[in-house]
Amino acid sequence: MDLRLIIGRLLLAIGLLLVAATKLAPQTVKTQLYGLNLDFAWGVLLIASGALFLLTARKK
Amino acid sequence: MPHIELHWIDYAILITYFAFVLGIGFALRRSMNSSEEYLMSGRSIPAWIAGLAFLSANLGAQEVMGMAASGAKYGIATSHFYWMGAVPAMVFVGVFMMPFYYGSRARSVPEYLKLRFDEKTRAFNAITFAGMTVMSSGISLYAMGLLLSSLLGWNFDASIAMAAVIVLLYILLGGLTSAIYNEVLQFFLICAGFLPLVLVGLENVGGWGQLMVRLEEVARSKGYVSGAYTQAWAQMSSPQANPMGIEWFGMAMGLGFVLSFGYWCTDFLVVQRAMAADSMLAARKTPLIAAIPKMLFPGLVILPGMIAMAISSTPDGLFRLPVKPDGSLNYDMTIPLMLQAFFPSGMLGLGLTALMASFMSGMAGNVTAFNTVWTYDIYQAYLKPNGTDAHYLRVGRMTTVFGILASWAAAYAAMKFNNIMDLLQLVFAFVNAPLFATFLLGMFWARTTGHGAFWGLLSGTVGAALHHGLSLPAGAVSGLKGGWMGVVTHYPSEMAQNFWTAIWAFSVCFAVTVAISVVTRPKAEEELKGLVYAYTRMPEEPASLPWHQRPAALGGVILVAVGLLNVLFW
Repeated sequence: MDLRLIIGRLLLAIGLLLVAATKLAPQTVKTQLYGLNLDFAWGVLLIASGALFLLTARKK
Repeated sequence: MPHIELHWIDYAILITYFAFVLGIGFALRRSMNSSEEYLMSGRSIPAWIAGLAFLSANLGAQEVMGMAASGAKYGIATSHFYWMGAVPAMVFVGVFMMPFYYGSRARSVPEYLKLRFDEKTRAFNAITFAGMTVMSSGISLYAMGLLLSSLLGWNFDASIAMAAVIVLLYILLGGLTSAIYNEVLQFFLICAGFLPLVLVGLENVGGWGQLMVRLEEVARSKGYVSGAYTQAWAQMSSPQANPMGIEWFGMAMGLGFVLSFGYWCTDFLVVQRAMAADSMLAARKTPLIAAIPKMLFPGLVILPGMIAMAISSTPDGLFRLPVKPDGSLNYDMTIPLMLQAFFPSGMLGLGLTALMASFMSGMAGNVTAFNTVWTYDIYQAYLKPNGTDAHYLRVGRMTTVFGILASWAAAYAAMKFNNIMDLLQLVFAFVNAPLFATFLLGMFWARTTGHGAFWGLLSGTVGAALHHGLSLPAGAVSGLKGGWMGVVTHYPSEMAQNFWTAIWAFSVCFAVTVAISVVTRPKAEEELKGLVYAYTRMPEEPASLPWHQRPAALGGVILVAVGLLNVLFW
């Protein structure tokens, strides 16, 4: 079992949930990081990291 | 502190993580066909996975929350627990000690002690270690139940039952491999959950420069010089000059040498991860790979505490650290407070999932170490020596169930005795510090005998108890904190007392082991091959291997890097 597949899928799943969470709350100071929506920005970053793990796992 | 309200999205993240955790256990269950596969991962784990598991086994939530609390209480000097109290020892175990652990084909640290010394030394270590792991696992469970009930308003009993059942399932199904895989997931979750907390916190406080300015004000308001919270070494000239209450020698010798090397080089909980690696080279690289993120972790777990202190000390700060009934600040609530203050729904779920993953991995690490030591070093060694491998596999699984149940019971014991965590820390100092002297002599001085090792270990433990019984930290009353035999000396802080207890335990064990070894008969040279430095050929790497694959070169680069960090934050 290639652990990179599991890590990639987990990060991807959490990233998608965070992007979905963007719709949950109105824009407040609490949801901002340097002007970006925190859930959205971090969600996209996790999706990208997850995809990277999946790509490296498949190369093998 | 009011309860945090979670949305469905937070629960969805938590449930997704649990599904992955259990999925790993189910996926691995068919490959668990022998005791070696179940208890030692069949020695098949690649170096990068073993390395991250080596790091994560020590990254329980108590550690994460405790380091943030220390960051708030002591400032940047807390990073000594990483830069001096971990990384050099990790390099040492990878470069010098792993060839003996892995090369001897011992299945555990107590078994190495049997091969190097004798049965009684193994029994002493196996029994004390098994007791410590169950207690430690139970305290992890208790701390999680306490956090979830106070933070989220969840039922305490239901919280610990849920965590215990999940950990039981994934270890029962997938053994050590399942625990190791989940530790790696935990590593990524901690990075994903805590890095944004640091970024948001820094933005709130006005950036790094403003953080330093505010912490300098905090230092002056408490009667220290400006750099007491922002300089790692500059204020270590005397115990009174820094909030930790320790001077550079106690720090370097107590934490940097005895406690650090005692833990990272001899504690089977972490060493087991390297022993599960798929080759000698991978086993040697395991602690070195772990050392790289380890030296950067203060930025992830200590910095939030420093940010919390800066925010909490300004009149218009977003939150204040709660006050305990005795009037002191409750630093343990640093991370929960920051999660509540800075994370919206979604990120909150991720942060809590990271914390829960740490609690469960901390517990799983202890249970997997316990079932290996119990099965091989107690059951097979003394109760049923000639069983089949299938029998030991069954015993390993049954021990997992027993370990979880015992941890569950220990969690309730911890609830009844509110000082049990302090007691456990003390036991670590009593057991691990002398054990490092035993290993140092055993591996590098062939003349060391089994009698010397056993009586040295016992004397070291007694030496630690005597020192503890005759000393007392400032502000404490005689009892569990020390001074129960009469107070001969006072320390400015509990930490200083712990460091000096460890120094005494190590020194007494070292001296007694040497004294008894010179008057007793050592093992023959033939019996010590592969166990002692003088009679073991150190593994040679092929000339074509790049420098970063060579343990000695990689270790050297890591030491230079950690040295630079010390200079940078001097």
